[in-house]
Amino acid sequence: MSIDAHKRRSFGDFLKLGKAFMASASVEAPPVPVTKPEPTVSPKDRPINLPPQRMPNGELAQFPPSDKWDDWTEYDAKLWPHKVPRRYMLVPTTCFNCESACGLLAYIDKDTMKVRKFEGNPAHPGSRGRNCAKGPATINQVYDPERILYPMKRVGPRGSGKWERTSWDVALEDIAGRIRKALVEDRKTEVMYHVGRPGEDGYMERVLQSWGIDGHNSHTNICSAGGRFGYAAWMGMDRPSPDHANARFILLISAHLESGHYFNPHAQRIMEGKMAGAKIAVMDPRLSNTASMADYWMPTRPGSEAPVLLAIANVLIQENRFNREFVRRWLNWEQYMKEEQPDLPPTFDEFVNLLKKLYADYTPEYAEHESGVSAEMIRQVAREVGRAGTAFSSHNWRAAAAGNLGGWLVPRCLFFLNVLTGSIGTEGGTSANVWNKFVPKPFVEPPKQKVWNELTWPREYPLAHHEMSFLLPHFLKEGRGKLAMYFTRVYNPVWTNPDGFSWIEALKDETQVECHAALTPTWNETSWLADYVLPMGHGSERHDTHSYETHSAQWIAFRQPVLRVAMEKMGRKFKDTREANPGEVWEEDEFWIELSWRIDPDGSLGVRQYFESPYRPGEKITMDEYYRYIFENSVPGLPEAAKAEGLTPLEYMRKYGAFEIKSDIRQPYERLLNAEELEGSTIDELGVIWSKKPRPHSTDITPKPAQPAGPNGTALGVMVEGAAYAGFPTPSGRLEFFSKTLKDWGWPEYSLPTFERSHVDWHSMDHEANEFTLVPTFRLPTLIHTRTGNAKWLNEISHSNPVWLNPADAERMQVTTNDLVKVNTEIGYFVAKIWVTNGIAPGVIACSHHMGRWRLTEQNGTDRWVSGLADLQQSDSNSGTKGHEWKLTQLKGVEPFKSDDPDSERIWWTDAGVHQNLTFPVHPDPVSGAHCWHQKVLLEKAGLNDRYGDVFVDTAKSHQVYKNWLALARPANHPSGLRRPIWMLRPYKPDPSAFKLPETGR
Amino acid sequence: MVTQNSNSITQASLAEARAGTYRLLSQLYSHELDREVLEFLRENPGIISNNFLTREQEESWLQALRVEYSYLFLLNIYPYESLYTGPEVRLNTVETERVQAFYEELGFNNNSEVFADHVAVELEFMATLAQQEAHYWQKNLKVQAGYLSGLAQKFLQEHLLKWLLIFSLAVQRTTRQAFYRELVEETLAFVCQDFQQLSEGLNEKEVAAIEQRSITAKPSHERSLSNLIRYLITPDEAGFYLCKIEMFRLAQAMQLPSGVGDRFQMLKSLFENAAQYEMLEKLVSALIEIVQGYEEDFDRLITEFEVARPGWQGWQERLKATQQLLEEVGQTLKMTES
Repeated sequence: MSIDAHKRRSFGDFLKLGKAFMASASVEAPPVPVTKPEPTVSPKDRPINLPPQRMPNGELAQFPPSDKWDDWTEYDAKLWPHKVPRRYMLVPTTCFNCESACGLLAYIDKDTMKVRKFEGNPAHPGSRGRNCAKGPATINQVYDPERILYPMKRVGPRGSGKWERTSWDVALEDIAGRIRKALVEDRKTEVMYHVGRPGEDGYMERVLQSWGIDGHNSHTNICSAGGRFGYAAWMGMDRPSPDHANARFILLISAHLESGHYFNPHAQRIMEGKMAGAKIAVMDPRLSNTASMADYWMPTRPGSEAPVLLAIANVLIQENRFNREFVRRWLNWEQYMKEEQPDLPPTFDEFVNLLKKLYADYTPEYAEHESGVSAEMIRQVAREVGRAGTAFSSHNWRAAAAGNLGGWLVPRCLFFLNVLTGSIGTEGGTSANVWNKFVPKPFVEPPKQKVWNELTWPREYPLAHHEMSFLLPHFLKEGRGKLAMYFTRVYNPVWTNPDGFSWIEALKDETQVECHAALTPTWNETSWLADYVLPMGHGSERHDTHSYETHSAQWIAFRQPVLRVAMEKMGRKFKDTREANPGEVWEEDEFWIELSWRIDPDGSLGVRQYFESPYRPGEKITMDEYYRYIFENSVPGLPEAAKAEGLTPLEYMRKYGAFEIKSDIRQPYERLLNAEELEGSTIDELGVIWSKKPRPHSTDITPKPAQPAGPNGTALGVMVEGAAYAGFPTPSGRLEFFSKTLKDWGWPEYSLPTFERSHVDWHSMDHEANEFTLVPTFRLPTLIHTRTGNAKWLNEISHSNPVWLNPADAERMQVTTNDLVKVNTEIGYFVAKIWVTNGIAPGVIACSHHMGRWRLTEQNGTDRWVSGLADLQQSDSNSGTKGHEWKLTQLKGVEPFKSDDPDSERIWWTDAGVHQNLTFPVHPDPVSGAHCWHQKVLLEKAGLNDRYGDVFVDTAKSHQVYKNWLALARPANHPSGLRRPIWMLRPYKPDPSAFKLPETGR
Repeated sequence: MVTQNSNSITQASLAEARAGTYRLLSQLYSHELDREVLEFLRENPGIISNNFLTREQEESWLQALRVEYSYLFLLNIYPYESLYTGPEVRLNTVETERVQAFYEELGFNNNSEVFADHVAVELEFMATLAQQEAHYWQKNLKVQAGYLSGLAQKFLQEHLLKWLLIFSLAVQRTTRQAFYRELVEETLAFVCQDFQQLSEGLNEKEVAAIEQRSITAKPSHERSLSNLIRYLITPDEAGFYLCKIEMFRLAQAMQLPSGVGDRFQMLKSLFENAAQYEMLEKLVSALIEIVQGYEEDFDRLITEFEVARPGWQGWQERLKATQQLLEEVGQTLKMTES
């Protein structure tokens, strides 16, 4: 029967049929009531009544109410649909998986005394109970079968991978002995504590200063030094604190919806701002998640961000869209006119005329030519910025500032826009970090060290904003010093830093690094080269306090060893946190106390006194005592808040894990000084007010820039139009449009906001010959450097780092997604796969951070959740240098393995990624000292012998590149015989006497 | 005391009858034709115009229909919405969840063992809606009844009507039994007619407010064989459903070995084998013929069921784009040859 032959039935026929069918016996189904179904109840359920928790306004609570945290019952989600209740104690702590330190609540099962999960802590003012994937994944790290449980000691040659279990006593005695010897022999620059993510405020500064050493080293110059220096040039304070939630326009040169500093706390506030109508512009050659949510995506060519920002500034200036009153009152334009334009009348109108001339060439059309972003969009954004006025928030942390030669000029130019709009410290504007941060003073502070470490603060980089950490291997190679004791903590320079093979060479040399202790919860590429590997706790296994500028408020948060706290609440007593942690895992706070006691057992070195109890003289301080003192004496408002709940301040912090000291902090520079403060003060030619009167006692020890004390005392504020204001902590007391510091220290061409051609400037690229700028810095929201290698959930989500390539470039090169390419840098190459995507601008390639972890033996080394098995060969180079050629070959990727965790046998992904950082030489910016991450690379199709993950480097070449960049520095300019400007920030700032160069004799 | 008016009574019996038809159709798709339903059909000729056979012949006919049911719905043309409207061409995708969400909103329980977007479940849901509507009419609750008929219209528009067309055409091309050919055709006709009557009273804008999306013929920026094949086996892209048996028939007609595996594998080996025996052009022409066949049926059905036009136009555009793409491929092949 064909379709055509068939006669169509009418609707009526169908209905007749239907009626008959309903009436027929074959219809058994009764009418189904269209209502919500009742949940089916399983017979297995134990009867228990768990009423929904409601807030006072009747809405359902998103979190268990805090009065039930000590005894909270809820159904076990994993056993759904069976309703099996579990009883928990909820103990707050903070996440250690990025820099934000968001609040976590550990759910401790009262039957097993095990942590079953981590959720958000609603009492934390920064994260407000909301976390990213990395927070709950802390549970993976706690139960990681690969974690290090006992102190380990190297038994073969360094780096040979032969280890034996040792005791804390053996390690402590050996290390303490080495440090004691160095202190006694006055080798105070030979003990170095090199930290990646500090995760604490104030504790280590106190420890190192109690030893009298200048021994702090950080990761900052491979990260934020460029960003910091740009802000510091304006206001001394080196970080922005945007009030995104109240902004009308948000300009980001970073990816704060997915990573960036204070990713989660900032992301939720950016969303609030957007929901309230704010518009967002993102400058990034890559379509980041953030750019994809922006109203304006400005895919600037790498290195062209500053011209675009200056063009925006120019539009604001030429179209008179800037805040004249703010600029007149708060810019050091008078100083600029006097110093630089002595022939012109020093009036504000004259300055404005000059400003118009100075930036006239930065037209949107010029910026379009430099950046590839249309002049039209630049104009639109400029007008949006102007319209937002004082509600304009902006942020640059790493991104362009960390990528380019002269990258520090990007935040310098970005903040220029805040200056022009007067959006500094305003509602919806951008504050300085120190206004929104609070570091409480501990019970006694040691004096500042009187020594200067040239391994971290070399003379070539007097303005370097942090330690020249990434040059350490080259400094050691050049014989600038040696290390008797080297600690790495949450730091993996072999993997994370540029030029990792030079790090291997330096760390293997036992004459340069006599003893290396790695303080880490897990194995990594650097701890493999240690003498001691000392297991330290994760975010739920240690004490720390911290405070970050997440929004317009000041708060402190308290990280705690949650099992110890829970068991103490139930009456158990502990000698130290090791007893509560798995294996013999310890926490740093207690470790440093113990180590300091062993360095100075009888107190004769003057070290021990700082680690004795303020409550039990002569005895070792405990964690309860250390933090009790801080919470009782140094956190304004906390004792009162605790009392209101019938708790001691320590009990309050143990219960809630965080405390907000102040909120809605606006424009502190506008505070008028009172008569009492001004009594007996003097005013200098810049209008800065000096006073010899002692300052009122403050318990906030947040490091702040400050001019050194002079004959007239210390700087108190600044005169603005006849009135005395608190002002800014700069030499001029104002925002420094003109930086005399830069001029005096040898960089006059950068004394005003301007731009410098990047080392990856597109003019210098032969694009047709497949030269590209490689952007290697971007982070993923689900991982954090190498620290999350032990979080299985996170590695299941992200485990591949292909090279992003624009379709136009792919077509020219005849490559497609998943094809292998060889990425040639100045010192070697890596082999990776391609991902063709419109999410990257033509002429630019990008490869994400985090992936490409490796281990050298089947069973041991970097976590097997994340690492591939690799072979590492060192040989003599063609140029004749000894042992400088390094070849890393990936033998296999990630694969399942047997362990106590059944999930390890379920690993389905195989890609371990590619380790690109090894092939990057060091690029120290001559001004800020920041490593300039972007690379000029030559991209080619992989050859027959190239395999995925191959890495090759000649470290003789990398040393030569180091020398080339070193030659850009201007070491001769040290005004007044100083090592660096005293007024600027310097971490672990020494006594002013240490700032004097020895040869000046001053 | 609520007094019933005659309109309510008519509406109630209309809804009741619609429920019956939907339920009957649902049963015909949910499992093989059983004797009970056959008895009903024998007594109420309508859904199929078959002249019934003798009792002896009937048993073997039922047996053949059972085989055909498996052949069609278990082996070749899976009757799940997600295969036709989603980009994944898989079962139990986000499309399924959307259907599930629609049910849950109304407290409808899918008690069967198949996914929520199985054609039988969607038809049963329509039956339930109609039955409840009848219940409201009986109680003279016009607002509630109108609400339910509005939902029924919405469900047809967003789900069942959208994919039933392509499913129905695929079955018609594939089946060897008149029973199933007629079943799908009658189902489509009834659903269209029901949609028509449900849409009466709604303004044109509401009827036409059907998700439209732009159609791209290019499989993606990379024109590889894999991408072409993925495109061709994805109804949401290509505008038709190429089932395994159709590929098998193609291979047979060209005297090529037919591949095994999933649809992707089969079509890939068909292309590879055709290339090996220099029959690519022929294969492409055969595919174009299939597309044209669909296009003709489309034209006819769209004319017949004007009300479904807005929802179906997208399919037509997809088919046109696919034909164009295949013709381009054909051209390229010719040029390469010469």
